[in-house]
Amino acid sequence: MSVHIKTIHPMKYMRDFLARNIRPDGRKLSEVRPTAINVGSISTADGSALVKIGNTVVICGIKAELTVPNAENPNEGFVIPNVELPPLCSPQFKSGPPGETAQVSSQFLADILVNSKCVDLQSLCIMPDKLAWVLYCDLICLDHDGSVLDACVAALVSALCTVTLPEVKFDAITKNKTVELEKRRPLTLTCFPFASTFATFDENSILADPSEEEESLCSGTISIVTSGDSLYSVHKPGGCQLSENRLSECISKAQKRSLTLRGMVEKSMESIKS
Amino acid sequence: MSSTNERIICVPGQVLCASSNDHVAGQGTFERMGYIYASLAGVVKVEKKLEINIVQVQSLKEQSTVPSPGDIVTARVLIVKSRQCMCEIKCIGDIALTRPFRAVLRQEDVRATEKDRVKMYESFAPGDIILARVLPIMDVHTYQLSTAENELGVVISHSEAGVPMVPISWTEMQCPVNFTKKLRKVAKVIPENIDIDMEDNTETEKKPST
Amino acid sequence: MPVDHRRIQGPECSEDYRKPKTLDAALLKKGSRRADGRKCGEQRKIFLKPGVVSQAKGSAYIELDHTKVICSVFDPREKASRNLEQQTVRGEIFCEFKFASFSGVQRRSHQQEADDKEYSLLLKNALEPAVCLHEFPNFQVDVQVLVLQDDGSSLAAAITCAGLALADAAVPMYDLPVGLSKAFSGDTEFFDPTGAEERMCLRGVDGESDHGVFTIGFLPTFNQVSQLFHSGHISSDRFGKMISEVGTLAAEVHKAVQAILLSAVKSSIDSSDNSKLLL
Repeated sequence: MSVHIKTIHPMKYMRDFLARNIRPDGRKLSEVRPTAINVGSISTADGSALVKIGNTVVICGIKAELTVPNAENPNEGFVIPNVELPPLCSPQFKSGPPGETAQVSSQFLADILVNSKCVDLQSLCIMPDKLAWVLYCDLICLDHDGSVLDACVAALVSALCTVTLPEVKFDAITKNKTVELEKRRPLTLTCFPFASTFATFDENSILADPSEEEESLCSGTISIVTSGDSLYSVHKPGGCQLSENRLSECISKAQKRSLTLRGMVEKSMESIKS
Repeated sequence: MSSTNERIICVPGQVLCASSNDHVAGQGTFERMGYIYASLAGVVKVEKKLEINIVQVQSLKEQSTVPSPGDIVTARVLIVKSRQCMCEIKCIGDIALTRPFRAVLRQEDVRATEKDRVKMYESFAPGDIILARVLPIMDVHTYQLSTAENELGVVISHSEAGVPMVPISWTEMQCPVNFTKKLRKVAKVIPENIDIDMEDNTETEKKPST
Repeated sequence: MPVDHRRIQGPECSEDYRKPKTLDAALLKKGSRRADGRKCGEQRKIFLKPGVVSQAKGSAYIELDHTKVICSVFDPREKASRNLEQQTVRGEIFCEFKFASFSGVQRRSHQQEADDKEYSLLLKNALEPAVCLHEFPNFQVDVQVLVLQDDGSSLAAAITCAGLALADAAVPMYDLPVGLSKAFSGDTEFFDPTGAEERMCLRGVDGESDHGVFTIGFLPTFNQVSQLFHSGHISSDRFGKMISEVGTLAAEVHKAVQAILLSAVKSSIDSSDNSKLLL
């Protein structure tokens, strides 16, 4: 019977659960789904990570290439994030060029990289105005079950942690570059931003880490990007209003979660080193 | 083949038994060169009808069901036009669909009598949940529905206050909060459907987004 | 080149830092072992897992060492064409095959490339004979395949993976299709070749006339070839011999796929209340 109420009367289905302070999947309102981070699984990429939050799976592969720096910022390299939501991850997406959601997500990641300065772009420069690294970070969602932004940010940050770049010598006169594939140095991140998504339902319930089903029924979502104490982005695309208290509640929860996630990244980094 | 608790589990392409006069291939199987093979991964079931054993394979996943003429379906009204309304089929019988099917309910199929006096706006509103019967397929791309039976029509409809309305006659429903009456082609519903809606009285409720 | 406004753009041009590798002529090491220690007729270890994508009707993941492929299958939907003449009594399999941009040594573009299209069609041809298409007339089943990492035999891996995903999605099938790949150069044959072996055999070694790679879609129960794709050069006698060997090679993979599927069905019976439905 429950499956019928769910298809015919989804709002009521959801409310009946929330009235008892529990969610359809058995979680408490503020409970997040189990998270797993696996780094360095794609050996053809210069850095990679697979992040799993509940059923949601996002994989990030980073390819490093050499390029000429921009004339405006001659001593900076590039980090280019792109999110793909292929039809593979959910029947709601069509094949072809990225849709609106994918475009918004890509821009969201690009903004986080700029705002948090987690990658020092100057460290990607090999010779000012002549040669710099460009890191193409491609994120592909493999299973779209809610809070995909959280998984994207976590996958991007963890993949960046694993990037190693070979040493490059550039002769400015002959324009010869010699790449020493054996001498690789890891990329250092200045901070570790992580996103936490919350869904607001009927203005008084806030659900942490919503699943796809919850996201589609709720009145709005809010994504908060933090790294411990610092706040990098609060993204609330429309939806119902949210009181200040509730917002700060969410922020403090997001801050706590970012520390947990950071711990997980460090742990999985250790596992590939050993 | 492997069995747990006397259940036989099979995978596509597995030989189940020899095909004979008293063993025939049923759902989830196919016959080739005198043998019955499984075409699905699942549990083997043998159904005895008269003297014949029908060998079937039942999959654990819901079979992708398609509406067929004569089926009673649960659908949601999407758009109401003057001569027809667009719906999406959510359930076929008691099977909930994972992917809804588009369907059309035409003016002449709303009720059995006085067909020409039917006004679509006085029969349905967007967001209504209706029970309907699938008509023989005429156009390849849409299913046609009919509510021309007493038991068919609107079963759940929300008023402007956001609460489910209560049927008061075959053509009217009333909002329990601000007592406005709305015209609908009301279905003579089985009591359990009313029970479900009566307990739901939260006033903050909004209309389900259409 | 037109600017793609839907993606974040990098600098106008950039290049790979790796020099184009000089192809390693010695694919066989001492004791006729391959670079990764396998014998010529040895298959890499297969890791298979059905039901990996929660949003899909059926899905599967396959790993052949460094070759990693994920596949999802969706509910049948009505065919896109409105044209009455194109309505058929048979259903259709629609395949989309894509290499992830970071799957190879060279970075690939986001857009569908020529070989993505070619492989999509080859995969469709390999799968269709295995599916009971008459059971869903006028409907199409979408099969989405993504190669996360390509280290050779990715099409063969995709065929096996898609077969498992289709079975997981409860699409009626005559058999579980199995994909196999073989590369050859001169007299040496490499079963389940790696990326380096594939490239090597496609180019051919100087002085050897026979070289190439072939990928085969096979239905082991009925000993049928559903699709065969070969590129390179080979004498017809030898070709016939190779095909006849396929059956024995396929049996092993087929057994593995069957076993995985059986245990998946078993565990879902145990875990769900489906059991009472089936009594």
